[in-house]
Amino acid sequence: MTAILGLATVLMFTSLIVAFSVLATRKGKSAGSGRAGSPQISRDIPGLDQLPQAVGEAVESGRRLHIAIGSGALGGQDTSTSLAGLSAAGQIASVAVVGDRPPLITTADGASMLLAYDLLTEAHKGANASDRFDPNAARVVGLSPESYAAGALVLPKDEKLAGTVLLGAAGPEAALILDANTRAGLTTIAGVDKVATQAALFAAADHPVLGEDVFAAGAYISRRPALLASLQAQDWMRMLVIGGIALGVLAKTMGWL
Amino acid sequence: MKVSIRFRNVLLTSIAAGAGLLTLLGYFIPVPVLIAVRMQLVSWATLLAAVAVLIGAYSLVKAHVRNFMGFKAGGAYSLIAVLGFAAMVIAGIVTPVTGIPASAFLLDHVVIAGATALSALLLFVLVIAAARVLRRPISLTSVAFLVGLVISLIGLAPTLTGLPDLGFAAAAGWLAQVPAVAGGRGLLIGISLGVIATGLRVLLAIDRPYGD
Repeated sequence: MTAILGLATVLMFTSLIVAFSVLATRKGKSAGSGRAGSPQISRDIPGLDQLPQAVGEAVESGRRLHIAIGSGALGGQDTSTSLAGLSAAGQIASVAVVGDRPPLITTADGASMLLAYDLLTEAHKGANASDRFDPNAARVVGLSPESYAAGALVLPKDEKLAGTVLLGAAGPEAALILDANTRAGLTTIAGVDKVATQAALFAAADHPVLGEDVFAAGAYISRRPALLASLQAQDWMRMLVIGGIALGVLAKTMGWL
Repeated sequence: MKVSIRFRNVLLTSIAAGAGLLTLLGYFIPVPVLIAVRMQLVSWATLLAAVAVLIGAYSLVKAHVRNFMGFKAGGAYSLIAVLGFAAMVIAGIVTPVTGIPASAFLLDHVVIAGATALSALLLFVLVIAAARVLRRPISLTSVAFLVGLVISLIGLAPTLTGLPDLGFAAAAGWLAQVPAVAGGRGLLIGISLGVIATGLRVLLAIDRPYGD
């Protein structure tokens, strides 16, 4: 029964994503632009609105932007969060590579590091800046959550950072990294998946990204129609879940269940 | 040239999406063939993840060796990190051969002790961070955060005898059991949807975190 419900949810979610993507494409074509039309973003994410400023500061000051994917590993329970962090990192890197010093992507997982390396290579190629590519810009700074925090909290000094953007899976120890940045006078933007860590980061980060917005970061930054369509599907699914809960509450209250 | 690059992209995307789809189907549809394929793909992924751990360790050691050899700031700490890594590797080799529990000793007395110290430091960092929230422009969320924090801290602190009960303990309990649980569950539903959406984006090749 659980498997059937799970499959039905996945199929419904997939259908919504495909439907919104097709709608976006048709809208663009009917507008005569020949390009896919961008679906509207249903909500603002104030924490992520600070990203262009953080990237701009890094580029202008000639310092590095630190993009932290967190201590999650691909293949484990943090796979989705790490992928969402990598997606956002790719979007940020594609803009930040125009600076003198390329962005630094840190992780606690070898597989994530390899993907981050790939993303940075593509970002440099896209900006015709392959000569400035630093093979050490994608780095594992610790292999456990605690060692990751310990390795990342010295970066503001050692790497002359302009700021830190943490988007991925991390425990409360990530507050140590953000505190090190704050003491160095750097901007911090942070979004994670774990609820307890979000409470810690709400206090520790200059611009916290709360709730499930860490999963929307890639779409929100890139504004690519297909990604925005998936964001719309996510919002619709949320409404369906809320509707289902409300119906369940009503049915239970009325004695129908 | 352009054609070959596109073919490579299509091939990589198809392999990634196909493997993901087969694993997902094997999870939902308990047909022996699909289960066998899922198990095989997961075991390959585990093997690759193990290799990735080695690559991660190599990257870590390389960065610290470079720091130390280049006489960079904090190079001495990098030397300690490299020596610590070497000690753990040697302990891992020595333990099964000699029976001396060197790995467990290093883990208990160095790694866990260090991690505990860092966790203790976290307490002070969080208190300072909470105080820093006061400096931010006033918003509904920051006021709710600070009011909740103060009530919880007073309510959960040991009660002094002789002082009247102002209801902080009951308020802290209510905060933890009603609004915090409700909010937490709401966040968890959103996060679950985010997790599914991210997975589907990769499966449908809308998002490709493995490069273009």
